[in-house]
Amino acid sequence: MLEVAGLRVDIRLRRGAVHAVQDVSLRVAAGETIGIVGESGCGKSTLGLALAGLLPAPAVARGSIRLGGRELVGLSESELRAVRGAEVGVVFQDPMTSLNPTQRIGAQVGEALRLQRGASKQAARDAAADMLDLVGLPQPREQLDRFPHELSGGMRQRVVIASALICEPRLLIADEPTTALDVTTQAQILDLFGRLRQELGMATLLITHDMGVVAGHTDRVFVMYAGREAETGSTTSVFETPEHRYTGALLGSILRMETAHLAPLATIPGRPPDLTLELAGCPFAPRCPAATDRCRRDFPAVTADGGHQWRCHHPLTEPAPSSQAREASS
Amino acid sequence: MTERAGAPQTAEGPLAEAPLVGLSGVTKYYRAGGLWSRSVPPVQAVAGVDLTIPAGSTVGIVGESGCGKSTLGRIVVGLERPTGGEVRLHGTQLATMSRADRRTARYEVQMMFQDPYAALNPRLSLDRIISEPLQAKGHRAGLARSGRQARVRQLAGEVGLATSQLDRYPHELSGGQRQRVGLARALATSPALIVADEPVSALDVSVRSQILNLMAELQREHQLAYLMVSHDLTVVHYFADQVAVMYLGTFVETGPAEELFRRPAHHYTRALIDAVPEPVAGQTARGTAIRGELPSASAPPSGCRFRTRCPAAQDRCAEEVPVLRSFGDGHRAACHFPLIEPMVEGPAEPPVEPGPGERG
Amino acid sequence: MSLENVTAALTEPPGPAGEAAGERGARLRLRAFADNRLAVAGLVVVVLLTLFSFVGPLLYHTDQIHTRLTMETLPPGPGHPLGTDNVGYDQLGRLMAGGQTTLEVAFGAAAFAVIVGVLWGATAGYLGGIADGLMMRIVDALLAIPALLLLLFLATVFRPSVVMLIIVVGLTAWLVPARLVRGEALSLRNREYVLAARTMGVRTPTIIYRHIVTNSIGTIIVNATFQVADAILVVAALSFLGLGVSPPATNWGAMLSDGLNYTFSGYWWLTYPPGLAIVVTVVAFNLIGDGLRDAFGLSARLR
Repeated sequence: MLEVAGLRVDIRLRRGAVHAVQDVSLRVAAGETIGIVGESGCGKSTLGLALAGLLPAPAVARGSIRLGGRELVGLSESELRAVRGAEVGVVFQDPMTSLNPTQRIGAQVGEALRLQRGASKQAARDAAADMLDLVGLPQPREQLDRFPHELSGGMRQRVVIASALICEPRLLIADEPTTALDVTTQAQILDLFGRLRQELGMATLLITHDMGVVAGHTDRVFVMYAGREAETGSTTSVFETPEHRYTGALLGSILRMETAHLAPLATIPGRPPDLTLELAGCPFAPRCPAATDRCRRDFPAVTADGGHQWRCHHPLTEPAPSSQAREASS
Repeated sequence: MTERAGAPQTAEGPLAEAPLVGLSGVTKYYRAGGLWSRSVPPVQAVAGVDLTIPAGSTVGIVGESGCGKSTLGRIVVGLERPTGGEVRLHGTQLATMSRADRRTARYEVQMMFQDPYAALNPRLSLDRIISEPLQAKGHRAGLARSGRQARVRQLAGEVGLATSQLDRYPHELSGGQRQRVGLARALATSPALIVADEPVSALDVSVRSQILNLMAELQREHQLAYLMVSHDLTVVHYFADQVAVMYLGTFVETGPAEELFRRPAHHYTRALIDAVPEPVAGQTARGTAIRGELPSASAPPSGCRFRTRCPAAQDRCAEEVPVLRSFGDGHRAACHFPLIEPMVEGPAEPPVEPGPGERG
Repeated sequence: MSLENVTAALTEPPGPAGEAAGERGARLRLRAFADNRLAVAGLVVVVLLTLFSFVGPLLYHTDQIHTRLTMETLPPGPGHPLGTDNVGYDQLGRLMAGGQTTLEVAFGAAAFAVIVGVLWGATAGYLGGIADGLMMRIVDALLAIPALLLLLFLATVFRPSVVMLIIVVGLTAWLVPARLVRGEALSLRNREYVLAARTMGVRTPTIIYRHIVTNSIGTIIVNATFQVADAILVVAALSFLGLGVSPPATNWGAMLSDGLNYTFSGYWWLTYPPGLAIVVTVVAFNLIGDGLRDAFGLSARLR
C-alpha cells in the first residue's frame, strides 16, 4: 500500500542543511497501523510531513514514496494537493491550530469533499454529519453549525479526525494526536482510531514519543533515531525482545503505574545529535553505555530476524561488550 | 528507600503543629461575561476544597483539564485570590496579612510551569532569569550584586546547568534544560513549597526521568514540599505521598498515593487509572474508559457531580451530595456506592461541598 | 493545519531553535533589514539629510539672523546655489536651518509620543480590568477629537518653540502606540514568565518594563519610525498654517508657506526645495518602517 524506499529529507537552512531523514525504508500494508517512535528532534515529524506531501519549501525529499503504486516524490504542489485530500489524511497534535476559528465545523469537515469530489453543498453537509457521527461527536447535525471554540479539546480533535477522514483516505498520518489531551480523552481517541481502521480499512501511521500509546494501538513499530531507522518489527517483538540499545533505553525510561515511589529513574544521558553534521558510526554511540570503537566507526548494517530488524552492533539479546572493549582508545 | 512521608490528612485540628500550607473551604468562582451579564451563573472552578500540605512532602492533584486543579495551584501560589475560604501559611491566614508580609510569604511558595518554552522570557539571558527573584528579594534582603552572582552559580550547579551556559538565551536550550532553568529560578528564594503545574508533561520520556530525578533530589536536600498538579497518573503515583482526585472543582477522593491507586474507592479514580495506557504490547487500556465529557462548571450536576458519567449511578446520586467518608488510614472518598467497603465510623467530616450560596 | 506548525516541526530538529530572540535574533533581524534594499536606501537618505542639516552649516556658512531686503528673491546663481528668499536669506542655508528644526521636532515628538504611549499602553494592558478600561476609554475619547483641531488649539494657546512643538505634536500622537502596546501587553501578561515574576514578588513597574516592554520592542521600534514620518507632516502642516516656530527660526513647512505667496511670480526655488525635502524625508522614514516591520515579522496592521 505505502512503500517508502531510501527516503532522505534535507532541510536547507542558513547555517547548513539539516539531514532530517536519512535512508528510511518502510512498508505499510492496507489496514495496518504502524507506530513511529523517537525523541523530539529524531526526524519523526519530518518523516510524517514528507509522507503527507506537506514539506515546506526549504525541505527537499529524495528517494521514493509510493502510495498505492503511485510515486509521490517529484510531484508538483497541485498534484500533491490532490493526493493529500483524497488519499492521505493528516491529524496534528494541536486541534486548535488545525481548525479555522472563523469557519463553522460543517464547512470545514465537508470542505475536502467539495474540493476533491466536487460534491454539492448539501451532499458535503450530509457526509460531514455522517463522519462526525462516526468519530463519536454527540448530535452531529447540531454540531455542523458550531464554531471550533465552542468545543472541548477532545471534541475538536474528533472534528480534525473527521475532516481528515471525509474522503476515505487510504492512509491516515497522525502526528502526536493525543499528546495535548487528557488520559481519559486519549483513551477514547485511540479506541476511535482502532474502530475506524476496522470499519474503513485504512493504513495508519501513528507518530508519537509515548511508548505506552504505541504498545496497545499498533501492529508494528518503527523506532527512529537521528533521522534513521534504529529498529523495526511487530509491536510484540519490539516490546518483548527489544534489540537496539536505544529502544531499550526508551522502554526503560517509561514511567509505569508499577514504578516504585521515588525509585531513581533510568535516563538517557545527553541529547540527540545535531543533524547538520555528518555522523560517522552509530548515531546513538555517544549516549550508549555499551558503545565500542566499532560503534563510533561503522554505521551498523541491518540485522534481520523475520520481520524484526535492527541496526545495532551490540544488540540487547547479546551479552554487553566487556568494559575493556568499551574503553579501548576513545 | 524513601518512605511515604507526610502525616495523614487529619481534619484540621486547630494548629497543634501548623502545617506548611492549609486550605479550608476554598472556593473560586469566575463570573462569566462582563459587568452587565450578571444573570449568567458563575463558573465554579474550585467549589469548596480542604487541603493540607505538610513540609517536605509531595501532594499530588489529579483530574481532567477543566476540573479546577490548575486554579487550585494558582490559589496556593498567590496568583489568584480565592472567592471564599481560607489559605493559611504556617498557620497564619494569608488574607489577614499585611501587604509586605504577604510579599515575604510569597517567597515561601514558588511555582514551576508546564511549558518550558513559555515560562522563560526569551529576551533575558539565563543568569538574569535566575537572578530575577533575587533582585526582587534584594529590596529587602539587600543581596548585593556579587552575592547574587554567587547564588546564581550555586543554583545553576544544583539543577545541573553548566556555569558556562549562564550567558545563553532560552532559545539556545533544549526543553529539559529550560525546565532546569525554571527550577533554578523557583529555588532562588529558598522556598518551602513549589507548586509544579504539569512539570513534565511537555517533555520527552527520557528528559522527563531526568527532571523527576532532579526534583526528588532537591526535595531530599532542601526538605522541599511539592504540590504537583497533573493529569498524568503515572507521574503523580510515582512522585506524590498524598493524592487528591479532583472532579469539577471538588475532591472526590483523597489519601496516601499507594493506597488510593491500589484500592480506589471512587468510580472516577478507577476510570482514570483504567485510562492509563500500559506499555505492554497488544494491551490497550484496561476496562472501559468513561464516556462523554466534563459537564459545565457553571451548572454542575445535582447531587454527585460525577453521576452523569458514572457507570454505577443511581437515583440517590442525583438527589444527595456524597460526603467524604473514611476508607481507612487517611483514605477518604465521596461516593454513595463505593468500590470498596468504607470504615464503619461514618462521615469523617462535614460535607466538603458548600451550597452555592455559601461564600467566605 | 497551520503552516507555522509545519515549519516549527521542521526547524525544530537539532536542539537549539525556536523563537528567534536575544542576541542571535537581533543579528538575524539586522540581516533581514539589510537584505531589504528600499529600507537601506531610506536609511541612507535619512542619514544624508541629517548630515546636511546638522553638519552642513559648519561647512557652508550663511547668515540666517539678519534680513537683507536688498538681496530678496535672487534666483539660483553663483554665491547662492538655491537663490535667496523673500527677506534675503540664503535658501540653501535656510533649508539646512529648517531641516534642523524639522528633524528635532520630529524626533522629539516621536520619542515623546512613543515613551508616553508605551508606558500608558503597557500599564493599562498589564493591569487589565478596571484600570485598563478607564485608561483605554481616555485614549478612545482623545482619539475621537480630530487631531488637527486639537493641534490648532494647543498651538495657538502655547507660544510655539521647538520644545513646545514637540510636546504639542507628541500629545496628539501618543494614542496610537498606546493602543498597539496595550494589545501586546494583554497577550503578554498571561505568559508564564510574567506569572512567575509575580509569584516571585517582582514589583509591578519592573514587570512592566522587563517583561512587557522588552517583548513589545519590535512593535515599539517600528511604530516609532512611522511616528517620525507623521510628526514631520504634522509640523509642516502646523507651520504652513502659521503656527510653527517664530522667525528668524524656521522649518520646512514654514518655508513652504512663505514661498507659496510667490508661486505666481515664478520663484520656484522658494517652494520646490522645502517641499521636496519634506516628501523625501517622509518617504524615507516610511521605507525604514516597512523594512523594520518585515524584519521583526510583524503584521501590516502596524501603521
